[in-house]
Amino acid sequence: MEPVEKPSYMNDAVRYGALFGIAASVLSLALTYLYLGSEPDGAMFTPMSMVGIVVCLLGAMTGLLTVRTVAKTTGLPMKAGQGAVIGLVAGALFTVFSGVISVVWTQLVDPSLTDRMMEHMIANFEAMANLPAESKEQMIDAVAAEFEKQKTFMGQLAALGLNGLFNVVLNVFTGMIGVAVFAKKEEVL
Amino acid sequence: MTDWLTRNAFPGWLAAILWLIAAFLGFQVLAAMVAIGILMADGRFADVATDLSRLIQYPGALFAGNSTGQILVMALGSWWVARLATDTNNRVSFFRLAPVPGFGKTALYAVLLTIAVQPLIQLLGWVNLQLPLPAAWIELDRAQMAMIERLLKGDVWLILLLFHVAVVPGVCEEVMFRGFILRAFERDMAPWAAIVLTGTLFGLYHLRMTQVLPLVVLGILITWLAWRTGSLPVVILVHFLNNGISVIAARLFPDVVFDPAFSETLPPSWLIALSAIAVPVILLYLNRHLHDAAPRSEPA
Repeated sequence: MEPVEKPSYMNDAVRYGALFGIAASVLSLALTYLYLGSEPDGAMFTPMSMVGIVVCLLGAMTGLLTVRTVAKTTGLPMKAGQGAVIGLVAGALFTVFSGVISVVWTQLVDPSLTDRMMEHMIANFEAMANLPAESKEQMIDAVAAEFEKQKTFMGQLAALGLNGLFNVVLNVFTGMIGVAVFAKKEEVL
Repeated sequence: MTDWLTRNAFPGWLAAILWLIAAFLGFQVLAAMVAIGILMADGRFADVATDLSRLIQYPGALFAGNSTGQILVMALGSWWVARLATDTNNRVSFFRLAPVPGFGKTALYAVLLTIAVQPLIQLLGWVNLQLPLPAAWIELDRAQMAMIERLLKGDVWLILLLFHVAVVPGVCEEVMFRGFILRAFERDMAPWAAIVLTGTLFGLYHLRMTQVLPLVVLGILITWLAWRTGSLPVVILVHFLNNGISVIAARLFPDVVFDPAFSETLPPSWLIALSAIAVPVILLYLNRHLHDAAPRSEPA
């Protein structure tokens, strides 16, 4: 394998991981409290539906922007594999920052948040007029079971692991896209 | 000409892990689609649509789904993905499929090793059961065992059972783990690290946390065999034998094999002692034979 000059990326990965991790946590908590402040009206689309999309988008940006910064700062040509590794590290750090904030918030700052969310979601399902009773029951049972799992520390850890895996894989790809878009192309002799 | 991974400075370990995740998801989706497709074609889908746990009543559909997923995703998928790590002309040696000198004797030692290690594997299974595990994992394992028991005790021909449980996993899991994954790890790390990592991932891939310890140890042993012998057919044979013994034992002695007390009981101490002596002796002889007959497998 021909030697490839490796740009230093750790500082940028930590910076963007922290920035986007904190941003994703703040936004998802804000949307959650916004949802809890509303009346359960049986709407299919709620502020809670936005949480996943927001976190996913911010997560995907972490790898992309870390690679962009590394490419601009060093000015070195980069390869797809380097972008993938930078994306992986940035995605993992994003998960660590957003995960720690989420665990600390739901376990220490506002321990009743999970219960309130569950009750609000169940109330929203019950208010859905067009849903058959059987489907409604199944959805309520599924939501209750899911929230029960998330209430425990182990449940949160498992969810964090799965989220982490998703973020890491996502950022491997956005890191590679970052190289294709932002990095200097190697000169062909 | 260099391969795609090298040209793009893409780490082999990352390629291995990404393929492992993709294959896991691809296998689950394809296996479920095939099983459901068969039931729909037979007009029996309505029976399971409301309660998926009834799928267990249709072993034919489950076996067909499982084997199709393994063949198409694990084996053919790995063969295709290996294009990234080697060029087409090198694929046979990349997958360690080239003939090796002294194959017959190597295979014989490997078979003896597989038989000799069984009491130690059972001991590790017992140790694993003594570890405190979350109730959800134990419940998942019980459900899996109940399904396996039903499938093995069902009225499926033995030859078909051997095909689905021993031949297909023997070939497909080996092509994926000891074929692609091990080679991909070997690109970036020392052989011992690649062997331990591949074997550990093989054990975890089975999603049986109550048996993860014996599965990991068996995985490491088979991975070492593949690396040391440089022959995938040898480990396919070992894997086939290991699974085949379980199928035949389940057919011949179902009341013993599926008795919960069986897995919770230690094998006789003399058998464990015999196994503990036989395994290193066979490994020593195998190593000596390989030293004389075949060189260590080189990176492809």
